[in-house]
Amino acid sequence: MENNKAIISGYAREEGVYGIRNHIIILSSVSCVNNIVQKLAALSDTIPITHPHGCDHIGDDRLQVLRTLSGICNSPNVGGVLVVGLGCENVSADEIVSKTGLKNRIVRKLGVQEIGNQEAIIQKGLEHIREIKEFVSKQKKADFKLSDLIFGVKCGGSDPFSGITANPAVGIVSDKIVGLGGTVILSEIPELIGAEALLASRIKDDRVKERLYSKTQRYINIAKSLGQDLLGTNPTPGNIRAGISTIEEKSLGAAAKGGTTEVKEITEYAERPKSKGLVIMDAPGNDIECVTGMSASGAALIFFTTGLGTPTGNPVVPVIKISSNSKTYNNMRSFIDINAGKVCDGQPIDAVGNEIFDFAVGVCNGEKTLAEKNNQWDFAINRIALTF
Amino acid sequence: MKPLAEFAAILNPEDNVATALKEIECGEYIQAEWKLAVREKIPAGFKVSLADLKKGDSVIKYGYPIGIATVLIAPGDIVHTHNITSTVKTRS
Repeated sequence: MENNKAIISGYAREEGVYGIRNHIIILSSVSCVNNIVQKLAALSDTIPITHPHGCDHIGDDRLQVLRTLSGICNSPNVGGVLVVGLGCENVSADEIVSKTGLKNRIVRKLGVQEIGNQEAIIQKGLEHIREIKEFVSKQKKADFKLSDLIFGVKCGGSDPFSGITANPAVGIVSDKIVGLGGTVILSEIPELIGAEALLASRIKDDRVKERLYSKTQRYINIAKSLGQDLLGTNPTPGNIRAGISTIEEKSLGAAAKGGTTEVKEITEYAERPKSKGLVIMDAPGNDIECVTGMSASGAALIFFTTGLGTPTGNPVVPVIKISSNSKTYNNMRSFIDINAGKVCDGQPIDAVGNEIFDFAVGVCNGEKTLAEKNNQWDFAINRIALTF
Repeated sequence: MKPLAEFAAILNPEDNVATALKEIECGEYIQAEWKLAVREKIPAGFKVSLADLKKGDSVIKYGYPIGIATVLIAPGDIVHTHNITSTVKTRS
């Protein structure tokens, strides 16, 4: 890699956070207004973000939903936001707006009960969007270093090749990013059960070590409380048929995405990392919930490895998909950007790592991933309590 | 004799298993200065032992234990659920 490749042209936001896109999003604060959000986005060629939540949450669950919704507004890839609220929900549009930073960003609110008439709501919404578009079109690009960005690494629909081709290749990229001074978020806590010893050996602070063990134990305990043995069903029968023998093997293969550097911090779901380097975010293995959490925690770009193939994308963060085998790549060419299955045909893993890194630099500078071209705007919030 | 590296990945120098990148036929394979006799077909994605493992020995992949041997495993043997087991289960 040449040095000048690490210079990115993108957008500066608050607290030294940088983004690689300048998206305008229309966000529901609560599911009751999803239809209005969809209408406004369709009429204005903007990105709708809807979800089935936003009301009747309690305690930490309410805070997590709020953190995710305000986190997506604070994504370094977002330049303009219209938050649409109903008025009586308990994750209110006003609260989301008040938590959204205004450095190189414009935020407007549309209250449905406040305006009342549907036609007037749409008119007012489009008026806001016109103002947002004008603001965003005048924003200037800035040069910054690749190491100023936060990256996420995720796997989904894994197969036994994931742990020997795509994940270690992304691990090479993670090490490179951390080596340059950047931040990489590894996640999927249930997929790290059995890999704690490996990760703990790369943690200096004993409190962070304990936190890692308590996070994996929490998922084991939740399954237990439901009468399930998480370890009895993992690896799955499909994993075993394909050659994965134990949960340790599966988890170590998943952890390979994070590379080999020190684990600096364990963050909550949708929480922005305080540290540079490799961090682990608390999120489930579920693809969309995990990627959403990463996108709400400030990730500008996500590397997603897949064995079986998936269309996964995100409304504001480009997702680079990397297949672990050539069969899946050829079968799902319109969804998968890079084929790490070449490792099985003799291509050195370092070469695949370099290919992914170079592609990522291009994406940082504006080249679109297939998920972006496909308008694959997946969004799902991880919940920690029932709706009341 | 075929080079093992063409057929299998050894992910860490401390590993005592290799993972087949493509099907490994029976026969002799060479890795650096040592030879490996594979006596049973190893399908792609499955593991082959590189060492003599006694019952209870750790099976190492990625440089870390992925479980322990439940029976004697010889170099060249296929390594899977019939001869290794997780140690995580006992912890919960």
